[in-house]
Amino acid sequence: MGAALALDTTQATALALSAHIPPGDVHPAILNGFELAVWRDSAGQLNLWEDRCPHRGMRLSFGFVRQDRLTCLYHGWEFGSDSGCKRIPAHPDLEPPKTLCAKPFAVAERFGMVVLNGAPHDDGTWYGVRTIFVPRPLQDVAIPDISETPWRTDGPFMLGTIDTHQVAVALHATSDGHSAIHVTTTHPDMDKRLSLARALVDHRQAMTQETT
Amino acid sequence: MIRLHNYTLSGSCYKVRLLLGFLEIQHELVAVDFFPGQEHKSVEFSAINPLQQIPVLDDGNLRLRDAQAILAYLARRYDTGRTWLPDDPARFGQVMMWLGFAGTELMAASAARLHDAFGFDLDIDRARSDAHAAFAVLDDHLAERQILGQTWLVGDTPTIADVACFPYVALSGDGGIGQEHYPNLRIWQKAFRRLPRFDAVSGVPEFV
Repeated sequence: MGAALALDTTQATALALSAHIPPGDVHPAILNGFELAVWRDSAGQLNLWEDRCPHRGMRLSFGFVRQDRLTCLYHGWEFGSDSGCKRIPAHPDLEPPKTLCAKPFAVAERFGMVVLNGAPHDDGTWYGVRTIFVPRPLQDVAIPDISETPWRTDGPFMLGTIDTHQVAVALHATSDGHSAIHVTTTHPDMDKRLSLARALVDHRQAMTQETT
Repeated sequence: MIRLHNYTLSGSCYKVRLLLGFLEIQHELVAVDFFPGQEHKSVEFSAINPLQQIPVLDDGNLRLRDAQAILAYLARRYDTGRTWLPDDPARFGQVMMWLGFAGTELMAASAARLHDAFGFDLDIDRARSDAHAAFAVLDDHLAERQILGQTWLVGDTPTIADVACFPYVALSGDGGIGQEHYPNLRIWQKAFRRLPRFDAVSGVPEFV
């Protein structure tokens, strides 16, 4: 293990597409080397936790969701949406003490993305386009040229326009000099979203070639 | 009775066992001591498969090697619903395309696992970087499929293309290949693991 990493919770950061975290699923996300687990219970409630089981340090993103609980794959400890441990299968009669809990972070959804430290907001219907990863540190990541109007900044987002519909881009540093580019849109046309996704593959290709 | 010359931890044998399970085909497994015994390199096994590879399938007088060929045979012969290997020429071609990918580019993930889990002497950096390149191709394809509201590699239902690609993707952690960069690939694997009669293996949990 390297030096303890801290998560910067002073600013909002988009970590994933909402569409990539369906109800009843858990997925990993890495922000500046800090490992996070993003999960939704079966009712759709979103949670963002450190990706560590407090028991043996297993990554919770390897686990699974049943109803409103995330279960660690290693020893089956079950955690509720309040991050507290609710059940320890090896000690079925034990009511787990309140001190046994996962580490939660503030999370909200905005522009169709999962946002650490985000403020809840009703933005209407947004569709996921893609998350692509590029082998570049954050400061060297070029914004994909997909908007028909100049980008306007809103917190961690850049907002643009495609055919009178909105498009949102957000970036974050993952680990080992890689960065993630998240793209969503309000464009209802599937073919348009497909061509956007292909443009992002080209963008990644261009950035990868410049690096090597 | 169908006989599969099998090593439990082999991803290539795993894909054949998965399809045997999905199609509910009665069979028996013949254990090959791939590791540490290297039985596949023995004179006796060379008579079964001169390429000294597993799996090998025996069905009556027919003997087949190559996991992808075995998948295609089993689907054509035993899938009465004809969904796992579609008749439609375009879909058939697409399935064959991904079978080829599973047997070549994707095998870099197998190589990384052979290095890490079985001590094979090979260029691990090259294996991992080739595997990541293959995973990106698969993730790009699945991203488009998911935009279209589709789950599987080809068509509306799972095919042997999904079966052929699944094992070495799902087992990639054994080769030190993380999947943090492949959200669409992760979503596809979860859907696959939720299929009826899905069978888990060491490294691929049944709970999803």
